[in-house]
Amino acid sequence: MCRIFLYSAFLLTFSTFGAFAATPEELIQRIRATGKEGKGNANASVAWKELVALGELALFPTLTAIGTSEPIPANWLRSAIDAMAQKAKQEGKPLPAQKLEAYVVDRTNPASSRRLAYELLVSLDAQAPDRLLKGMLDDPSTELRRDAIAAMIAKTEPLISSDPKTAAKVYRQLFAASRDPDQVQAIAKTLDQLKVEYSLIKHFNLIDQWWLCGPFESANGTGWNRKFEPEFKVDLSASYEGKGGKPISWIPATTTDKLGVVDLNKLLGKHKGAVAYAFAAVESATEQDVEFRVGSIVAVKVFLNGENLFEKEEYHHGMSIDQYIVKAKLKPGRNEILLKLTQNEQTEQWAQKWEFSFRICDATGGAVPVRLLQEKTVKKEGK
Amino acid sequence: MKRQWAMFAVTLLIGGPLAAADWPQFRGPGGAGISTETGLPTTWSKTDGLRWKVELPKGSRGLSSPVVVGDRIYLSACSGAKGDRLHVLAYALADGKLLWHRQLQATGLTHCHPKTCMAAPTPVADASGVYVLFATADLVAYDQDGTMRWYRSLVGDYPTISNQVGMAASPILYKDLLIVPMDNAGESFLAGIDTRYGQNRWKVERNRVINWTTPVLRTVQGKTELLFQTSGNVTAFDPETGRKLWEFQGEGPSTIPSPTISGERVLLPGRPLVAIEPAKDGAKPSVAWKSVQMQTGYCSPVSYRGKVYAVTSAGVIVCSNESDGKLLWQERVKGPFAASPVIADGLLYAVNEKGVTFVLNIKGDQPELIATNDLADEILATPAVADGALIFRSDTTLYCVGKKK
Repeated sequence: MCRIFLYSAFLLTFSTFGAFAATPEELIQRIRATGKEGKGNANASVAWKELVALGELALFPTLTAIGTSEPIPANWLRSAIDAMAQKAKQEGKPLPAQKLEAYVVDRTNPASSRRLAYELLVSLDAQAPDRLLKGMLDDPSTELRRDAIAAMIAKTEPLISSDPKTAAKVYRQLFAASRDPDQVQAIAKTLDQLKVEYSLIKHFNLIDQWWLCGPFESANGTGWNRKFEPEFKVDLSASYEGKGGKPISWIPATTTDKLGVVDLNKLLGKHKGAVAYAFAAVESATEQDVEFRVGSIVAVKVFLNGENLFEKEEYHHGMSIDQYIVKAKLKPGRNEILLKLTQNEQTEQWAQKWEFSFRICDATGGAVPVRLLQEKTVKKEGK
Repeated sequence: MKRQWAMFAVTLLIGGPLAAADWPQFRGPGGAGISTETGLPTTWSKTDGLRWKVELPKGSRGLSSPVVVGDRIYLSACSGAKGDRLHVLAYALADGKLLWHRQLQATGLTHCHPKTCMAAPTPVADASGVYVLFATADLVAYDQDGTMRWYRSLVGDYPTISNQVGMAASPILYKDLLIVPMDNAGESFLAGIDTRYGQNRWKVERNRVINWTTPVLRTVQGKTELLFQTSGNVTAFDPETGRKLWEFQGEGPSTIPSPTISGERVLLPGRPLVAIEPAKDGAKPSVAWKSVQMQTGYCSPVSYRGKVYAVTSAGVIVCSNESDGKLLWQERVKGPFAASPVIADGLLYAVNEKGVTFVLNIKGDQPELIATNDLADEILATPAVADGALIFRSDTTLYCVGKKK
């Protein structure tokens, strides 16, 4: 009798747990319910523990979910991967290296997920980079691509002196493949050494020809939120009342800076408490998702075809290429880009610059097929 | 003097129970820069006098200090071409064994001055685990074994948050609240976040000005105040509610070094250092004294046994009388310094940016420079003191300086 009772109890317990044991997908869904200001944290912390406890069973669904989730749940899942790897190591049950490698080489998996899988793989198999990186020079994961390029640079460096012709050929390929600005510029230095011509403007797809208009009045920062005429309609033949009541109009400007930096102090004169607009039109053959990558030492707003896509009100805290990444969708045909660049009134010597850079690229940072509409076209179409 | 020690003891208790040797936050217990440890090492080098040293994740950086609670050290770091990979690490205090390592992807901007990085704010820990704020405004809580308790993307919550010079103000604990300083160029606030699930208990608006100071707690007559300094200002809040209690405005307080409690006074570092005496009835605080000689760049002052110690940008260790600010002595050493000095057992430790630590015996009227110890590594973080050892971190290495066990 007692044995029957215990057996029944065991079956009941087993079936109950079996019936309610959550799948990785269910647990991931619970973590995906996290949101702003700590929403869902209490439930997510419980789901996180259960997910980690599932170990290998949850590994690949979790990896994939990282690359397809919003940033908040993605970070919950990112930490879960680390905990799973630690658990596997402590239990003496290594993660499945072969499956990880298959996951890494399958480019249909999300780029960020493949990168994490690669790191797990490398922790298990130190030879994996030698095997895999050579095929990753064009990888959609910029981190994998960066490592692949770095590995190739290490291999090619000795040729710079011993066989410069071959080195030049390889470095040209690496330059074309590279995406991270620091790596691109490091390769460019070697190209200089090898006397190979290149263009950072073209490589980064920086816009180096603009129409500029300014200064508009922005005493006491009032210009940042004030919509001046160009925000309603860009008319390159129009004149406006500028700062101090002076008439201003659009002027064409081309920067010769190798990273496409446009110096407004040089082109419009040095003004504090002022707004300037920069306009360019590009033609896209198709509808395409792109990234606008912006650098600005002053407060900046980005408009595409009249829509305000991005704004950042920060002044004189540094500037670099790719400082801000703005997701955008170009329509087929003509697309109008307008930047609003607001200079503040700080008097310190280090707070006098008024400059920006702008490029159009894909999610890896590579140039996308767009054509900058030239002065004549812009003038004609702007009228 | 007795009152000062009582204040220090109360400060230690505000954040909850800690072991005597713990160093749970930026500048240790109460943010005072003082440890109760004795028998600490006085001489070491890159190869001698180390209990252990461990390599940090390859290619990572960090200016945050190590913190110690119980038998473990918690540390933050960042890595990647953009500095957007965020790391939280836990090491065994006894032997430096890596206990766990968790990573996050930055959700905020990573642009900053090249001297700093995204792992600049120092974590804060208690017996339940660690709370880590990054300069990207990512905020995470793990238990002591690395189980994720909660996570906040503060930039996701408040999208205009931005400090592209690089944030460095550190969170602190008050009972079951994590106090998060977030003065920046965008939406600025000071928040009390519940430690259990990471939700706002209170949040007060602040001026949109970048600021690197870490708040401190001060308890007077059983009532605790939360003090937060910025340029030309320190404001006291009720840490339970965020209600403003009093404010001091005037010449002196800067946005980099953090304030220090000195008995019933508050030392506001800046140009010059100002010692204020808050009024008991919430009225405007009075200025007790000012000291131009004690003005510092990055380093926060330490108040110890009736004297105040500061390390100037020029590399001079300065000591003044706590009661009237009178200059007692100056000792020129070699700067520059980013880390704040720490004091334990009558010894002052000041590590410069090249990893050279000057050890001064400050028990007498005049200082005695008893050792100059070179780790030959860039050290920008204030060291931790625990378990008879000093714990330094560089970008590449975590050093535990002390006798082997």
